Amino acid sequence: MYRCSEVVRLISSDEYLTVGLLKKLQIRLHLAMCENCSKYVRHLRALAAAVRMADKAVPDSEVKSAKSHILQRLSGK
Amino acid sequence: MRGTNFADPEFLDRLRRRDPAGWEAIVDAYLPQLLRAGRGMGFSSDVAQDLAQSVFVALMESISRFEGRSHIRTFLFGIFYNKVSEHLREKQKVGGNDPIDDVMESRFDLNGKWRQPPVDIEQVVFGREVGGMIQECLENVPRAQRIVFYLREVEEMTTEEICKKMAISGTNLGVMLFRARNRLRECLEKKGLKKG
Repeated sequence: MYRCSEVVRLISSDEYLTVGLLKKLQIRLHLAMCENCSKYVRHLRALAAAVRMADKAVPDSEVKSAKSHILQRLSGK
Repeated sequence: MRGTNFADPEFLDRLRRRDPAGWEAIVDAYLPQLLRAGRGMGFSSDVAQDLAQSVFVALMESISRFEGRSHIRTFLFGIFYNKVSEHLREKQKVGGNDPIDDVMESRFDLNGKWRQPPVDIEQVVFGREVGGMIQECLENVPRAQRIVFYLREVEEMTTEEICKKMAISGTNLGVMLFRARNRLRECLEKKGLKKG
């Protein structure tokens, strides 16, 4: 059986993606039985979703100013 | 230039001839994405702009070698990820110790059981003020870790793609993702405790 520290390590490093089916099942089983680990994994997922949501396009003004710099640089080439 | 077909050989010819309108179309099409990705990886707006500029300059220098077998977007982003990987290598000190490793170790006892179980941070993570808090916590993530975290969680690349594009080993990537994710979670937990 996997230990909590190992489950957290395997999941937060994405290493669990590379383990075999049996190990995956053991990890799933551990998560199903361990409240703390399943909570921890939920947090990691929620965190990733929140970062995705927080990723916003840069303001038009910034794009415009960058664009004029870049076009100027390109025309000098 | 709206609706320009970038795959059109005639358009590529115009780029090779350094036709200004053609280059403007390419910049218009991809600059917003390049800036967004640069900012998302934690570069300041000045550095993100310099990075984007260096990508277009490199594209102009190599466009004669571009045969149009892949989409120009793929080619351009290939240049971008290459440049990002240079930054990653500069900043990265994997193998070296990272304080988050000790923090994580201290959360478990010698048998690998939770000594300090995770505190509920659902309210923090799902709550309204989360945007600001996450931003603050992201600022504390070292650059290399933040880059791979961004590629994995926001651009949703596979681990294989990231290893290939950033020229790093799977083990290396795993260590960086581990540190980035746990560091962020720790940071939010601390903020949540302070708030609650």
